[in-house]
Amino acid sequence: MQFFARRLSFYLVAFLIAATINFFLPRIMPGDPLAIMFGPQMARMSPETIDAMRDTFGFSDAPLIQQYFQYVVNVFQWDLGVSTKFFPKPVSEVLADGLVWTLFLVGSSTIISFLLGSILGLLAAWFRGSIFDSLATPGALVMQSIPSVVICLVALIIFGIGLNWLPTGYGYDTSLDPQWTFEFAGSVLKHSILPIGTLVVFQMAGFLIPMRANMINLLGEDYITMGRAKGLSGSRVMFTYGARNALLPSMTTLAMALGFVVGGSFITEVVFNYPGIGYIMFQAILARDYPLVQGHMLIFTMVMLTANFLADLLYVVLDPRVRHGGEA
Amino acid sequence: MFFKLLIRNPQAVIGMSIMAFFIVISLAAPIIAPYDPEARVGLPHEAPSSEHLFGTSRMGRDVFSQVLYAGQISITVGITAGLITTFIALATGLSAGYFGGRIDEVITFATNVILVLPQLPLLLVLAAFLGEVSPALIAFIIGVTSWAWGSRVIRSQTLALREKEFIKAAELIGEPARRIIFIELLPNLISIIGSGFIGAVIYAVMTQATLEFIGLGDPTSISWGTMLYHAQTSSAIYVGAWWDLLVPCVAISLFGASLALLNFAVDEVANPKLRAKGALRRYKRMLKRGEVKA
Amino acid sequence: MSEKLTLTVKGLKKDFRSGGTTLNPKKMRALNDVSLNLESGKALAIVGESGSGKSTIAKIITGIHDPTGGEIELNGKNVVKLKGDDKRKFRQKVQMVFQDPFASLNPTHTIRHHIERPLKIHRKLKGDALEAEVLRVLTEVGLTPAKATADKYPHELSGGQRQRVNIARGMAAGAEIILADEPTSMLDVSIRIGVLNLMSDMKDKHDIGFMYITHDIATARYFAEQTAVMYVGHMVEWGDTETITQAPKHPYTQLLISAVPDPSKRIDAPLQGGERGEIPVWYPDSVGCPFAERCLSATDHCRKEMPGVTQLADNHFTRCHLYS
Ligand SMILES: Nc1ncnc2c1ncn2[C@@H]1O[C@H](COP(=O)(O)OP(=O)(O)OP(=O)(O)O)[C@@H](O)[C@H]1O
Ligand SMILES: [Mg+2]
Repeated sequence: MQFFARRLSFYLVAFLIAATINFFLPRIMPGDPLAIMFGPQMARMSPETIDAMRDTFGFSDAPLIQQYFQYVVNVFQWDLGVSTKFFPKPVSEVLADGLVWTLFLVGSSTIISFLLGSILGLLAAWFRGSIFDSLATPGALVMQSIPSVVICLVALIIFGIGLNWLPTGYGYDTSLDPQWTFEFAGSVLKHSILPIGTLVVFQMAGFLIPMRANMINLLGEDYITMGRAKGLSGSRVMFTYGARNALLPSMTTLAMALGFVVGGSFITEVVFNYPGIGYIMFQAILARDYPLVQGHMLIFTMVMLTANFLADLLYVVLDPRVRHGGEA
Repeated sequence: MFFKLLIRNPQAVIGMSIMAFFIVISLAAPIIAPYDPEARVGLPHEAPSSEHLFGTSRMGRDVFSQVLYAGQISITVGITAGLITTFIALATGLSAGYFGGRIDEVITFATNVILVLPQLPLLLVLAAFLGEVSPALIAFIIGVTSWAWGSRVIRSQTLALREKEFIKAAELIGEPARRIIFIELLPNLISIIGSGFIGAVIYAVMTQATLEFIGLGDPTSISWGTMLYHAQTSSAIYVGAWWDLLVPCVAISLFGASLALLNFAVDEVANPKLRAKGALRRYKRMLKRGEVKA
Repeated sequence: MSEKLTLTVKGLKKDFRSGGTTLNPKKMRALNDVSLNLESGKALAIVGESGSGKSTIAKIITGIHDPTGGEIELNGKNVVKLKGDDKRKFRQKVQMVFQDPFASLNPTHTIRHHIERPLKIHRKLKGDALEAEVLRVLTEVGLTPAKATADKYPHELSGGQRQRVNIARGMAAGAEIILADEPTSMLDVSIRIGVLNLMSDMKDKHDIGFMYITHDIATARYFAEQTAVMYVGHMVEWGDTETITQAPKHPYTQLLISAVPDPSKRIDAPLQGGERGEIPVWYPDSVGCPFAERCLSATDHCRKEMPGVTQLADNHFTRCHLYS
């Protein structure tokens, strides 16, 4: 319990720091912060809206510390102001619309990469030094070091435009109504193949490489040698003895990876015009919609912190030592 | 000895060759490039030909000349950001690991906070407020936001090394802390620092491309990222000018891949456990001697 | 070596944390009331089973660990809380040789570096004089040809050669007392005697004082004038090496000696005869004689009260109720 209290207070501080960055950015830029924040859109806003925005972001003549306090209180109440691009929708609402799509994209691609990466990593370790290993392992690393922009663009060129197999834009066929019908679900699925596929390509190495390293370490342990010496078949030993133990470290990375890949999904959404929060962020940047840009960073921070907290939970479940007051 | 092992590693050799190739052709861009990268030297979107090796862009610029010059900026940004990242990681990781106590607490806290904050959105917010960010500024903001992971790795290695007897022995002969850190500890961290640096360069090149692709960079500078940006905004793929987009894509990918290969080789050489060894080999030997059956 | 040095340890205590939580730590006592003397030109052997606290004594003297209680004096001057220049001077005089010759040299530096550094720090040598001294020291410890050795890296030397480098490093610093923590235990039996002879030479020719920590009573007899026997952090018998090995009085020492007729055998091999209990862990609030659990002659008294020091002869002491 002490462990969780400590972690939670740490996350609270981390979130506060993210909010603090947001608070200071418009204020350290040269010029009137209010004009920076709302730019040309100010002309379109009614005086009441402008006052409400002043209130949300703490722009007033009060001392800085008081402005800061006001802003932080608002942020913790998830009052992030009004989007100037999607005016007059509040930022929190715009983000909530996108989050569903992003979580769908990220969740499915993470699960697929986890399964695929772990199995390939296992095989690479087991057939250490084989042709498979010396292609798959550096291959995975190389894939990981190609920017997602490139992967997405190449996928778009080949499958979307060159072969014209798959739809290249938006989350579903826009001629359909978003309803719980098979047709709609099928359209969603079809539209998600390219984005999910590219994310998997990008993510898989993150599971393959550690899995292979863990497994190689484990293969040095005697019980594996013993299992084989006892005459158990190769695959039996590999899955029952090796995989189970090698997977444990991967499980905790899984939750963390979820947080990271939300960032990675940004480009995917931009390239495929996928309606998640990454794409919303892109539009916000183009329109210099700063309230939305800032809200986006905060919601990502929330996602990261939640993922980390899940990793903590998993860690405690898997490693009982932590529960009893050891070091975190 | 380390270097000798590296030279014998095929992945390292391939990686180093590609990387050297890129560095040389970018440096030699003024000699190799047939045209001024910023001049209109042809019709919009001319297909690759003997005159324009990689075709022309929407603005009628020579893509081949552009990709050479772009290499200069992209690689420089990558290396600069990598150096900044590595330097901060090293300074913080070493101090935290060696001095411990209060210093360690503060640094570890800062590291952990940066690690749980979302990197890309943070960069996007910074860049969005800064406006069109010049390559130098991009290198700087990438450098100062991405040191946390390296710092953590170096700290834990330093902690382990600090307990080694040769460090104790150096303390006992009266070496000052400064020398213990730089002369006794640091050389033992070289392979970690090396692979951390390579990783940081990869990350920087990728992130720069991303930021510029979505239009946060300075569109008048010529880098692989801004080439992508211009190709994308001129709808190059939809009008069939695939070369406009593909050329910078291939350049970034090859350069990133060469670094990744090199990094893989460094890990392999530095961590002998990852080399084929141990049980598997023992098992294979037993197999050969007929002591077990497959 | 003008003046004779005497390093005196009085009533040394050391508690280590062993489990418990940060707020409520459990402590074990690794050393309890340890007192001893080291002198230039003499050797004191510290003998005892694994975990009896031998290394801890050396690590406290050199300042790697802080003592929980007790005093350490060099020629009457307390050295526990030295700072700055005084600390440097103390370190110059008292050096340590570690047990593991593989771990005690920096793999990224040549042998020259290891010898040069103490020469530069403590004797401020430079240039040709420095190089000449490096070669002289290496020759002195038998690492010839000295020039070729100086250019090698630690992994290019054998265990015995590395241990010689460690001793040379202490000499280069100008040490007058060397704390050698099982310097030969990780070496092949055949090369142990060479290292031991080297230490003997340094003791006799250069008047260096040694604390020789060992499991091996035979080499203690060969090398050290004085011997102290440790059991679970306590000194149970000490004095003249000949007397202790020929006519041991404490039941633990007797057990120890009878168990090791073969000098190459380590005394942590299972002890025969007197073994009735486990080696205990000592806590700050433990009572009685630490050996009572295993002692054949133990009485109730032994389990309740810690025996005091009894002087058996001119230079022969023990802590045992049988003699008090
Ligand atoms: N840093 C430490 N933290 C906690 N306990 C320690 C520490 N160092 C030593 N101890 C404990 O103190 C006791 C004495 O250890 P020490 O290393 O001095 O034994 P030793 O006689 O040198 O044994 P060996 O012959 O194996 O080297 C042991 O029980 C050990 O577990
Ligand atoms: Mg010891």
